[in-house]
Amino acid sequence: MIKFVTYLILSSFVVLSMFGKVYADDFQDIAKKAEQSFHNGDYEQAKVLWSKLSELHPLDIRIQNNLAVIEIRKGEYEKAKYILESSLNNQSRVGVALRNLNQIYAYKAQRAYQKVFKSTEITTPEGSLIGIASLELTSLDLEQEFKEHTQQNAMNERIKGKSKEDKINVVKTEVLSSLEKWRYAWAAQDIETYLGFYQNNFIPANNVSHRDWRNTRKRNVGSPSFIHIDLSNIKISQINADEFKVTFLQKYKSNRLQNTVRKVMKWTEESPGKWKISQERVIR
Amino acid sequence: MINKFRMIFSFGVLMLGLFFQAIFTPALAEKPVSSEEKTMGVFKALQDLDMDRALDLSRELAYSFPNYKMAQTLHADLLAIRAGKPHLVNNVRDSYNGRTLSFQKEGQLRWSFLNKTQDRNHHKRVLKVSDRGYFVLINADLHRLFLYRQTLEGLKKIDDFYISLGRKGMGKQKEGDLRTPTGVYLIDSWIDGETLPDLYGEGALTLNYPNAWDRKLERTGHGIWIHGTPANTYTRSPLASRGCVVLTNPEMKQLRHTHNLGVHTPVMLVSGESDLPLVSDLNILKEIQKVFKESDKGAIWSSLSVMNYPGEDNLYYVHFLTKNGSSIEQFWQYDYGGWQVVLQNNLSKVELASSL
Repeated sequence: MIKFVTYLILSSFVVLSMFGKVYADDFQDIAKKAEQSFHNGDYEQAKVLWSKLSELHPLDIRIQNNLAVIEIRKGEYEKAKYILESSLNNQSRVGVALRNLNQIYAYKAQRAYQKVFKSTEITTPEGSLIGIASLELTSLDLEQEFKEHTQQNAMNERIKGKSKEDKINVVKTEVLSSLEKWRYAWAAQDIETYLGFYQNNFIPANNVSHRDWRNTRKRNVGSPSFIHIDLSNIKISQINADEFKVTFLQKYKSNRLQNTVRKVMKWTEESPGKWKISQERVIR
Repeated sequence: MINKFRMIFSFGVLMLGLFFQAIFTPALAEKPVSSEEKTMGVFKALQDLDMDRALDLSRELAYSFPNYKMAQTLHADLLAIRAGKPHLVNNVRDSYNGRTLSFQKEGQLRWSFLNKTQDRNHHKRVLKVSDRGYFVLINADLHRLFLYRQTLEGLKKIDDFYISLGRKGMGKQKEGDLRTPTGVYLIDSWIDGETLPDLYGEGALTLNYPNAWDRKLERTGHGIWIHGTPANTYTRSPLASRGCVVLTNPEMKQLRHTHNLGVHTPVMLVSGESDLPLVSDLNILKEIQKVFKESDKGAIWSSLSVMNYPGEDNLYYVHFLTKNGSSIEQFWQYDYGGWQVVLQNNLSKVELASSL
């Protein structure tokens, strides 16, 4: 509890001066410069600026779209396609809809090639629901929160002058948006960011050494041609002031593998507002 | 002094490294994914309702095999469907009906082979092939060429490939009937592609059609070869040749250069009409052994091949070499209560092309 109050005070001072309102101005400023560069035909500069914004707002489809347009103008259609497809697929709500659409396309293709499939059955699509009725937080809702969270960079606001309950909710949101960023980094195959979500002394399951685990993760996250991850049924509970337990259903799909597992994670606050995974287990 | 030592030391390490690399690389190297595995991967992805993976794979396939027309069409069709314009698929099919039908037929043959593999065990027709030798089985129903090798444990399948056959199917009878023969033949030469028209691609393994049995039945025709494809074509449609067996050029290269398929390799061509013998008669082997012992021709047992002849009742094909260098083929039939040679042919060495 003391720790909690300490960083409450600390963060209001340090973070306010570092990020605060300046950040939003910066965003507008960089965006403006990027558009100017683009209209002047300086695609390289525009790309540098939008990439900078993309690091801060990886889920903002406007930025990804504009980066793709640069590739289109350069005739790099495959690159543009990759950027557009991954940014759409990584918006988990859009991703589910796109995957449903793809099932229909695949069905149509089977029909177009039904002579080929003479010896086997044609598979019919089933589609996946996006939960609406459930009140649980899902990764879909998190996206929105994550966006707001990063845009205002809530660290300064996080717990100042809030009731105890609100404080816990703020912290919960931080953990859940970290979870969403972790999912995004994994799906985007951004290995450094992905590994950055684990504590340095993170102990992997199955008696694997930390170093071996890192190397295996680098390979498994980096090498597939695409990765889709859906998290659903997310539940969060507080263990103590700086530790949260999160469980969720994880649907993983890549060009090589497809599985659904239930996971439990322990997230630990390493420094004020910085949440890291200290434990991760597949249950059942 | 130190530098010299260091140089020797690092040289040593380098050599050691190269040595280990030489030892381990071939064993560790993964077999490259064949065009067929990729094509089947596309259909499997569609069956799994995974359009993304199907498009990924078909793109890879279309880019790595620019002359594989079926793959190009498949990728174009998937793109059209994905773009929400499935009518484009039909437009192309209406304009190029014959061609697109044969693409679908090829896909269907490959897909059903992958999913069923009923090869009717035609290799069981073989009682013996020459020691450490190869045996080629061409199954017309499956449109597949199977490559077997004789090992201590018996015949072992090494590989199998999709093939294109004669336009009118199997059972060649006369010159120009556009059919592929049913029977057992020997490879009698290799003709390199460089000395042949483009049609034959990598080159041709020639077969000794018509053999003595065909000639007895007054079958005519010539130039039945196993060959590759022209430079602008990756595979040919299922029924496209004038009687030859056609493989892709990389597969042809494999047969010729990796496996060194050479003279005297037996090639059996079977189709649906040629049913398996109900019982393989091992007595014939004993009978042949007896003849070998009595013979003064110096027949070499290790060179002997014996197999049931497809499309005939109780006919066995026998081939062996002799110590004086003759290559003898015999046709055995059960008659008057015993196994007898009904036809014999000495394939003189001169008959065999020297290019092997």
